[in-house]
Amino acid sequence: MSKLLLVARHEYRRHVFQKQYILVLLSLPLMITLMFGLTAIMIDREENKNEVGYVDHAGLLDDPVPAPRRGSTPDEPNTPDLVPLIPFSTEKEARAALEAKDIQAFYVVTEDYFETNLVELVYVDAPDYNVTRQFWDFMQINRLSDLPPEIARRAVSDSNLTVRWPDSRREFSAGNFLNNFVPLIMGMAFIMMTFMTSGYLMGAVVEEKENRTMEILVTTISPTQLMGGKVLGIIGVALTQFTAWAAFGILAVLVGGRYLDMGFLQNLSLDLRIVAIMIALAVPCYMMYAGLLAALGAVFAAAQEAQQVSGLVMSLGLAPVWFLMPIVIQKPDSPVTIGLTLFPTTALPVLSLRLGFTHVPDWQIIASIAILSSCALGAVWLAGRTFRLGMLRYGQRLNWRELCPRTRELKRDADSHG
Amino acid sequence: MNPVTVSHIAKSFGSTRAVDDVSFDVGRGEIFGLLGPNGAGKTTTIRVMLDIFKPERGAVSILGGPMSEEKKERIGYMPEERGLYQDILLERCLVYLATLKGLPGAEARQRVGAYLERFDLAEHKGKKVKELSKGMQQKAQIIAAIVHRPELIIIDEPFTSLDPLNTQVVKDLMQELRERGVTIIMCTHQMHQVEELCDRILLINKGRDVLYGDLDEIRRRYSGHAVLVRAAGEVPALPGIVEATAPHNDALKLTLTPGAAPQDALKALLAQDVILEKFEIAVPPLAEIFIRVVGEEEA
Repeated sequence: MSKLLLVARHEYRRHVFQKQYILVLLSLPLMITLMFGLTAIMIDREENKNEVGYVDHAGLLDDPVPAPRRGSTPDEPNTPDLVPLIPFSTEKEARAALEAKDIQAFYVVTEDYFETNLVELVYVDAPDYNVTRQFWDFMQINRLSDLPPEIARRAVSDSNLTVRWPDSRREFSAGNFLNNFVPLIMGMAFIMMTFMTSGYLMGAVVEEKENRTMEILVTTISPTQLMGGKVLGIIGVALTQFTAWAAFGILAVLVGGRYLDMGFLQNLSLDLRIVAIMIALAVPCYMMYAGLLAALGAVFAAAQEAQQVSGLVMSLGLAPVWFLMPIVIQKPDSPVTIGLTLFPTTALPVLSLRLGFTHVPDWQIIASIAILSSCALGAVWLAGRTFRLGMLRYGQRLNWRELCPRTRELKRDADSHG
Repeated sequence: MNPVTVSHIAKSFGSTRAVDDVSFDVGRGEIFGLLGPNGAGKTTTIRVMLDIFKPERGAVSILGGPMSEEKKERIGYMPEERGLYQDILLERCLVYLATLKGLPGAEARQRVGAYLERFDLAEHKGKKVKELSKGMQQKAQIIAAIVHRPELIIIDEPFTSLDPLNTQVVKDLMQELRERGVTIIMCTHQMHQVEELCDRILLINKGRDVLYGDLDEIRRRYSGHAVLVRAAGEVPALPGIVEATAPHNDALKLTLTPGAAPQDALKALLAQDVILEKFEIAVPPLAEIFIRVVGEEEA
């Protein structure tokens, strides 16, 4: 095995087989599961599945057509199960049932309904939106009972607007709205992963300075092999984390969509072009931050000091996004948005948002990837340089001016003449 | 061809001239002492030799030419600023460092195991490095420097933190390595260890070589005009040959008069039928030479 791979394997094992890492790996899925679980429990507890009554004084519902179940067409997501609708002859009977808590509410279709469209609702606790919507569909389908059933059903169901780009590559519709969030979710996951794992590289460099293994290592392998191996190992750590999260995401979609009947998790599809663009952006973005943090690791003498500055560097990198996000959302083709798309530290979050909801010209995507890749190479170069200069500065910080070859030459000249 | 040839190297850090002009050769299979007071430039000289620092002037030849990545596997190094990965198990740490030196995994494990036995560390192989005592960590460092059977070993203060028993183990090991033809460069402030182990030395002060050569020859060069004598009976006075007498350990130190040779003293003693148990030219200990040379430099 090459030395580079030996270093990579060593770095990977050192981080992945640590309790702290496993905790971080599981924390996000556990947190999301807990959040969804608690929400589901709360909704379930609040949802009243009791029957709903109705009293028809207008004669509209003498021989009622059942309410259509939403989601019975491919364009529509499913709604929760229908609540049984029970007819009552008189309001007195219905009120007695309500008081006995046999029903949660009842509707009264007034005698002059055909003139006034007036329907009264009587309840103790207001029924939820699904109940009122179901009754509204029930009324509609029965008013249209003279029409052929498929026409009546279509009239009752909502309009389904699909926005499609002229090149047919992108479309947006209510039925698969979550697809448009996929780039944003991927972008956020990549950024979180960068925040959480690229710091390992900085930690590894500082730690080897702190525990004095650096001198043994640099007399054993080249700095390039050492840094390359570390970067590979840390990327492996990040990929493990990302794969675990992605697997959890897929599992959540499968379980939620298929077994828990969550409509918004059904009909999901991945646009491979978008996925490829996101990966092409994420890899250099990760390399850039990893390079910058490794450089910080080589500059600073203590891990704690370096970690404080690294947090600041990453926050500053993303700061423009927080401040200018309203412009990105409201004016996705404005010069500010294009600028943020091309700026290396904001390219990933801004493009992940734009790719989901607007059409981004190809030149902007290509330019953004090219700029980000150049910056990544620059950061790796900087990391190599600072590493070479700072690797044996035990307990002593490297001066930024020392990184500039010209400054060092001038300083040396001054010293030799002084 | 000598495994190490250093010619007139110089290296500065800012306004500090760490090494001004240092030259020396180290022959194959010898233990070479690189000595000097604190801050003399020993560590910088080693780092220049190992290509960690580029010299501003001069040249270094290691194992037949400039330093290369391939040669790193033929060199063992235990630096002054030393340490191991504190949070991993001792055996895993040593095997990792051995594989980086080019040993296949299985062989690395086998050799590390054998050295752990030899250094009485086998029962601690499953402990984290940070759980080991300072002396144990020192022995682990020595294993890391020699496990890949290097041709050249550079070792800085090998006896620090070691008890007399382990000091002897390390000394035996160094002599064994020398017999196998391994070249060893040793930095230490323990002059008695240098006297016991080293064939030749270089003394550096203020970045310059001030004393260089065969250890015995250097000691003779700095010997006073005196002989050490121990006899069965009383040592008689030798007028015209000996001008002063003083006790010296288990013998008498006879300071000779100017113009008298040690042979004259020996002849005179034998002429008086003195039964000699010991007669040797008095050479100063290395520590005394060190202090004298560095003291003269400072003055």
